[in-house]
Amino acid sequence: MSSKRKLHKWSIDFSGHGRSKSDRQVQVQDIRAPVGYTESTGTIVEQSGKEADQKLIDKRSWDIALGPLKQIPMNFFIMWMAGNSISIFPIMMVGMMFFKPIQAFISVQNTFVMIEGSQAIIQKFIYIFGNFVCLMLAMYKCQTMGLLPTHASDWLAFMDPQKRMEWSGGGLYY
Amino acid sequence: FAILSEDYSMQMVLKAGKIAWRREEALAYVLSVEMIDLPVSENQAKYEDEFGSHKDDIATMFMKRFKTQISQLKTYIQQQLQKLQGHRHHHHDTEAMAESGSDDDDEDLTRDEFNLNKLIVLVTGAGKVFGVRSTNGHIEWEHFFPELAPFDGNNQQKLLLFVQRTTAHFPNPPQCTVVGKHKGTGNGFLFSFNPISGEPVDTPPTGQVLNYRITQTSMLGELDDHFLRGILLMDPDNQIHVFPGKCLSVLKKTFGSQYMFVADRETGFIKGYRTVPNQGKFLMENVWTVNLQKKQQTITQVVGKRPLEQVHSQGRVLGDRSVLYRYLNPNLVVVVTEGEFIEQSQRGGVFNTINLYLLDSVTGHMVFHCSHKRAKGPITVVHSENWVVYNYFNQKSRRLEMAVLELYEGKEQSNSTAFSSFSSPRQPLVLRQSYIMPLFISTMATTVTEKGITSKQIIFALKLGGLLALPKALLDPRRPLVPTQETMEEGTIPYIPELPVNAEAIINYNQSLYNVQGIHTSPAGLESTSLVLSYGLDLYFTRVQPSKMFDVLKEDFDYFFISAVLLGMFVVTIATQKLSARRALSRAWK
Repeated sequence: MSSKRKLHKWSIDFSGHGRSKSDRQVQVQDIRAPVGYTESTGTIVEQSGKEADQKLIDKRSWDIALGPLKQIPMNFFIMWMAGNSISIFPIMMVGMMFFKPIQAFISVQNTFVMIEGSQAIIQKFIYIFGNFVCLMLAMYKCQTMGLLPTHASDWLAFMDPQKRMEWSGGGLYY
Repeated sequence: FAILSEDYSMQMVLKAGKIAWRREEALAYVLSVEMIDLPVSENQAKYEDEFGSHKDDIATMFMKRFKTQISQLKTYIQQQLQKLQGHRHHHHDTEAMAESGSDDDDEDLTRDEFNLNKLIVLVTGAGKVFGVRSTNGHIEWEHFFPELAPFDGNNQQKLLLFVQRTTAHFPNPPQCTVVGKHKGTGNGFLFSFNPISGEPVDTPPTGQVLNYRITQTSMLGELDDHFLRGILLMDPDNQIHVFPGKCLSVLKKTFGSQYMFVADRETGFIKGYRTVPNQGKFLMENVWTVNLQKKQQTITQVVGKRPLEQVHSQGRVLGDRSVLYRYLNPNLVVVVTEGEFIEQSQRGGVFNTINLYLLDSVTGHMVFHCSHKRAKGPITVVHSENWVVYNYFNQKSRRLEMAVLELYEGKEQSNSTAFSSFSSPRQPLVLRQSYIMPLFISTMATTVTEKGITSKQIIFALKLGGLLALPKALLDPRRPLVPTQETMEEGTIPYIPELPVNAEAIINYNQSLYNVQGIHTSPAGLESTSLVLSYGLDLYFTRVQPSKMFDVLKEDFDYFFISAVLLGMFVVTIATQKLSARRALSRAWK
């Protein structure tokens, strides 16, 4: 107890406990500030915070923008695993792959609110492009499964019968 | 006494003058058949009436609709009351009916739900015309014409029956016409009647005798304002008469597209004609002639397509998803000739040949020709859509063979909207195949449906006494010898030379039909069904479903279960929604 209280004469008690006991100790308030030291340090701290924030915002926007593009290899793999036959699992996978970009397109306003920064326009463009590529991938999968109506045989059912231009009748002589 | 009368009916007359029974044996000499739809019931007729008049304004149409619906409501309530009362009176009625035993309680002739019951008009060689119900074969009406004789050129008897107007056009009654020869003079004989009631229309009840001989007949292509299709009659001076006279206006409008052709068996010439106006009347001018050498062969049959048959698809889908377009020429005609020649070899026997010509009857262009040496008739030809199926007896291998020809335009279509014989693709692709038929047949026919979507079946009348129904897919020239992946995708059955005859394909189960002269098929209201009537010694009527009954729900379809489940799910959804909302609210307030 006593060793604690026994402070050196030149030690500076920053906490301010020994205020009443000894006035031999130097008080914090009496110490003058060093040369060139200014009290207001807030501005510098604010500036570095702003930079860090900008970088963080940009980084996050890039993450959002590149999100779809990162999904593409994973989708490729899923499609390859799902197979080319027409059964419930491949169709579910294709449906899911179709709906993700479409949902992204529908909620594009919400995501654009989150994208800010100097390169916002490029990032928005890249986001839309990425979604578009995902959609193309889903279409390609449909094409390999044979679901897209690209051949003439797919439109055969909608063709009207030919109109008859001449009428004819007859047969063996009666 | 048993009396056989002039109209081929046999009656047993008892001594007191009472008739014990009467059999219409004229039905064994049927020459032409047509099946007519039954008229709609009164309520439905009112519906049709609404749509028929376009000239009313909104107020009158609204009142009409209102009145129709009130009368429908009335009939509905009456039906329900009858049903409730009927349960009580039902057993009384059945006893009464069993006692009377007469067949006077046939329902009246109205269309049923799926338009499967028809009225069959039979024209017999005895000069008698019958109207028969298809439900039970009872004769509704009959007319006897002692002066009517069939056309008997070419050792074949022929009486023509034309359907001029069907029951589809409500206020106008349906009309049919029988065309034959007058016994005494050889001139034309016409009788026009309403097939549902049997009453004569436009002609006297004993038939109308014309003052010219009929060489050939045809029907007009277009309907007139009252949906009547006129008949063109050609006389030996190449003049054209229209029956009935009011259809002359249609001919005046459309004579440029009306053609006819006549094949003469005696001379071996086939002549084609076009209509030319001449001082108010119309003449037929000869535009083409085809000479099938009479010295070598005689024309036995000229078979055209069924005039109002609908073809649904214009092409055939192949295994690699491309389309092979069909050559659908509505004016194509198959001419069958038989000849014989003496072989110049040591044996020097006489054997027969068969030649088949596919002619376009408008231009005379011979689209295809094939010949079978050492093959003999009798030949039956079925010509429909873009294919021809025919059978012949192969003298070399002494068996009955069936051959099929299919005509295709190719992978591209020259004109997808209209077909004109003058600008048709020059030479269609003809695919052919032949098979061995293990059993002998009398005749064959193909099923017809209303829109042509169902696959076809070919009905063969076997000499054994059965009617065999084989799917057309067995008679497909694209059947491959060696199945590959692509042909499996297309769905063609691999080729085996024999046509499989299995007992389940015989549509008259355990009843036998001998001496079948012809089979007539007709479309029904349902797309999946085709009605078949075979005539000859006996009349046999049945329905065939080539692709099974795909357009009617099965009998054990659980309406109750499904609707209960649906309703249950709906209620549960709403209930859980409310519950979860309540729970979220209470959690938020904690």
